Amino acid sequence: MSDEQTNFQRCQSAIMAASRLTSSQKLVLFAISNAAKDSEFGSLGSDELQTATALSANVLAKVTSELAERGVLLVVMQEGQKPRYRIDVDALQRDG
Amino acid sequence: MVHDNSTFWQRQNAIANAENLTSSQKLLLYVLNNHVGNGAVAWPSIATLCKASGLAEKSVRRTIKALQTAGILDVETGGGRTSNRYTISLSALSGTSGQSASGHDQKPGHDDQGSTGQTAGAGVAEFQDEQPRTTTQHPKAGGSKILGRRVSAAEAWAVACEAVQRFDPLYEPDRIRELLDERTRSAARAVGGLPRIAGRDRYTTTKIRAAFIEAYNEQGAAHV
Repeated sequence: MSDEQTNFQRCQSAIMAASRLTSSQKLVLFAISNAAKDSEFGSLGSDELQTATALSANVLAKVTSELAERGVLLVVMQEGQKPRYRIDVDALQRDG
Repeated sequence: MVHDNSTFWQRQNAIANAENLTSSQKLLLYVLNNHVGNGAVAWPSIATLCKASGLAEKSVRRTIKALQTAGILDVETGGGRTSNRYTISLSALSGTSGQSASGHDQKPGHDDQGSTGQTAGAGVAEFQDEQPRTTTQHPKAGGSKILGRRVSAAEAWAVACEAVQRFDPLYEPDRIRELLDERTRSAARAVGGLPRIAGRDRYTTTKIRAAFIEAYNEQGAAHV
């Protein structure tokens, strides 16, 4: 089993184990973790994130903002490109 | 968790790309897929699913039933002593773009207040008496008088949430709306249906929730 696979599974396990997250927050993290797969960052357009979560744009904006404030999610916005997301698994295990 | 990577990712991608699943259904499928061992079968307990997804037990059970009805999830009951065994159908999942895994009012893209807070909006919900009945008692339209005065929609909503939480403290505020929509219809039936308003059979959610408050307080928990 490669380290990259282990990181993905570690992230998924941390999401499931987090007891302070709401269901919507967990869902968004699952979607981002799936997009990231073996990489550190996951790149998802707004439409893709909506499809992957079935949440509305308003709710997604609110949830990603909440996760960013908790330090669990880093969002990198770049002009003309899809937003890039990084899940801080250590923060998730510590504060989630 | 040992994954057969190719089938695991096929399921993950199918879940992510499915167009007619609700957010709860997608969430539960992500969790289940993570528990799948070799052979596409998982057997987490309901408690495990609740903890992993953050959903309340009734939501988990309702979502499982909806997925089962849609043919996406096959459930082999554990007989009470062991957990159920779940199998995710990749073919059914891949075909959800044209079919609806219904069984719940929530639609894809629905503005679900999933994190905190609740919505006291006065959207319009169609409600039609499924069985014409002779009513002997009608909840008053246009607001609740439980508090001895007419209340605003926001206040009625807050009272309804409090009433539900007293009844079942497991429910978080962000799940109360979908629960109340379901129970409000039961409450309305319990009191003989909602009164017609000027011959129309459309009711705002505000009026429906007000009817729930009256029914809940007058009839007690037996009818919800």
